[in-house]
Amino acid sequence: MVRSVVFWMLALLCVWGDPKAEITREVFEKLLHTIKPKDRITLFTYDTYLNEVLVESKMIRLTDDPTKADFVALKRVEEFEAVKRALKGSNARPLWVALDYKLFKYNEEFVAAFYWRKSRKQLLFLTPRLKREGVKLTPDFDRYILDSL
Amino acid sequence: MKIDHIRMNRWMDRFKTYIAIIVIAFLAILSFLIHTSIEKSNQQIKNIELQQAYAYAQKIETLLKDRTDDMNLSKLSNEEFRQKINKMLNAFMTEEYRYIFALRKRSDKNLHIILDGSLEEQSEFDEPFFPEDDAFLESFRTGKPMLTKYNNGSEGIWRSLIYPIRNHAGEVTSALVLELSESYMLKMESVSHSFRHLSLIMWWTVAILVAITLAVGVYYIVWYRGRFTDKVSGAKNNAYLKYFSQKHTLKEFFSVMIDIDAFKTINDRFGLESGNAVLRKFVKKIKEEFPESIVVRTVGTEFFVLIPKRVVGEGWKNHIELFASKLNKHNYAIGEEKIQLSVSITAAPPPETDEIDVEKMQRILDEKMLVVKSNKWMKVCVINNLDLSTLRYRDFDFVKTILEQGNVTCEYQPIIDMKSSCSVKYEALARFIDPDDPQKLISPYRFMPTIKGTSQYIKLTKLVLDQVFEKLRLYEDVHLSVNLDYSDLNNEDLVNMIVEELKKNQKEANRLTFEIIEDEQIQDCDVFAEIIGRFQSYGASIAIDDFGSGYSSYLYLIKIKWDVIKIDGSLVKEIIDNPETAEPVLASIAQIASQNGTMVVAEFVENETIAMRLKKCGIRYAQGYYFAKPAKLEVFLDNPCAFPAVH
Repeated sequence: MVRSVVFWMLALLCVWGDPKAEITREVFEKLLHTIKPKDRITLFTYDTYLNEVLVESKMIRLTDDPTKADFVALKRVEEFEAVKRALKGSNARPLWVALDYKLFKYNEEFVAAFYWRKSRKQLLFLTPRLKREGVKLTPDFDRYILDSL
Repeated sequence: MKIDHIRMNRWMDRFKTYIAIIVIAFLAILSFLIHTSIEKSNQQIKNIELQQAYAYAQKIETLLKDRTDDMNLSKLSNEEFRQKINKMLNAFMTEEYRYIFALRKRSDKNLHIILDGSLEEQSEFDEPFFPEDDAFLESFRTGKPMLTKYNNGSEGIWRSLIYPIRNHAGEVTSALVLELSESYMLKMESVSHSFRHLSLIMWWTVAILVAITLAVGVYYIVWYRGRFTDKVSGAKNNAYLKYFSQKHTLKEFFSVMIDIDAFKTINDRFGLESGNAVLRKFVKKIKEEFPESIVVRTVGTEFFVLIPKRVVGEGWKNHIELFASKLNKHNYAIGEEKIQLSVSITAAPPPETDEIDVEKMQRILDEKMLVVKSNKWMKVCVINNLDLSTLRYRDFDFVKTILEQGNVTCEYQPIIDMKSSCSVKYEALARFIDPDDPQKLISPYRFMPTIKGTSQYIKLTKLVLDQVFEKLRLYEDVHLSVNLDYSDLNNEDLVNMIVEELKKNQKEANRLTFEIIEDEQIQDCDVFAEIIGRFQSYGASIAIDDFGSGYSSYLYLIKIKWDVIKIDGSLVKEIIDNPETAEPVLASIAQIASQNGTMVVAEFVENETIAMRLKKCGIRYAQGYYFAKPAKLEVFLDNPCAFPAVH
């Protein structure tokens, strides 16, 4: 009981008052919910920081099994390949979110990208990929949608 | 001294308040000045930094344009070339600049990074960039440098300078972005941190002082109000009176003491709760009559009321009498019943002298209250200012000083032989000499209660005895008497002192009489006889004073050997009011005395009729105003037989 309280207090202390974490959580919740409007969205990610940030989210549930995830958020190509292997043979078809520009640019499967550049949050969508996945975004996201890179 | 203390207290209170205000104001001003000067200097630092950033951007722009053919994209798209330029940009990145990069605006109106001086997490060529700030696009549109403030999406950046780069045709094709580090600015500001801390400490000090001042105010209002209020009656209490006497003199107040008579019967009949409710209503009634008055419940059902001078003013005696009448007639409801209270009131005007403080005033009014209480027809007693001046004779220190200075004298009243109309003896009566007016002699009843039972009383007795023996030595034919209380003889020190005096003045002792006043009942006649026997052994005579009053009885005449019997004035006066019964009694005393060889003296002989009737009863010696008032001994010695004859 005491340990659990201490853990939550530490977790809160880490994230609380960190504007970057706040923004990340807000953007992720909005983004994932827009793409897949569900009460409870499941996300798989290797990224420690994202795990820490989203552990508090009421909307997003983190999972350590990519086959059960609605979304997979990755930063590196190796991660992308590992998840692809894990998904082989399963019916799971999660949507891919890149946490890095290059990963998004060079892998067609990623439908969205979220990363930080020059201390600013960056969101990125490509029209063909959105069309392919049948994703319709709200007008708030329009300015982040490009036709090509 | 007292008044000086009060003034000093007031002055100190004001002084403390002024000092507190000055300190708070001084700290507030100082804090404000420090704060503004810090802000000013910080602003100056920032302005300098920004000016430097513009100059820096200009320098980089020149270099870039030179090296990249006016930011030629086809050249920049070459990875190798671009890395070289990026390295050059990186060389410009100092502690002040968090990021230096270049943007271009594509036809889709989106911004893309084309150069990036950062070595870590370096952007790709032509990577889209969403700065979340319109100033970027605005700079492209207007071609003017723009300065943007830090916003929530760009942490760690204090300011962004967007510096448009024009090509040879004058078109804005790209922009250089210099982002000033927030941590660097904080570092710059840290120079003034110690001052900032000082300012902060001072602001906190001011805030705490203001809070303390407010708290003290609240404390005075709430806590002190509770502390000074009598919970039973709602009036002020003695603690307030003490506080009041430290802050004020009575010069601006009429003092009124009110005592509710027989209030116990109300408590007994209606219960304590109802009694307390009546007390509260009583206080309310006083406040109704004198809204600006200060009502203090001193003890039980006694109230001390201070009425401001300006409220009563002229005709204050009538005001007080009317006030008493209203209080006596007012109805107080207890349930369905209505009762009236009987109150006794003593009042005094504002004293002219500062010597009379609250405590002294209470004593004066208290003494008068005894008079009022003992007279069932008297409800109000108003004291004049003159009465107040006598109060100092009750001040122990004042009396002590008089005795230390030996300001004591005696007046003498002759005892007359009505047969010869000559004086046979003189009663010495102690008087204080007023130090402010040596002609003024102060009667013992004013000061005696103050010193009775103290060593000062022994001192007074010794002073009187010294003077009496001096007179006896001076006038060899004169007989004198002095007064002693029976209770004095229980004081071993006093008795020893008298015996010593008698021993010292053995030659004169046989011309001295001690008049013993029976202020309390003689407990043991044998012990008493033994003591007076010691006096008599030196030849001194003993008289029983005020015989026929108080405890005096015929038993004493049997048990004790008296040399003189002095018949009390109250008995003597009866010879006028009830001569049929008084004359036989007086005659019997005279007869008993003559049989024992005891001298009989009648006191308080005020007129010839009394003297004649006393003589008729067989009383030979008399004393009183008819013959002579007390005066200096020498007044009588020149002509000791010049007193009125009694036929």
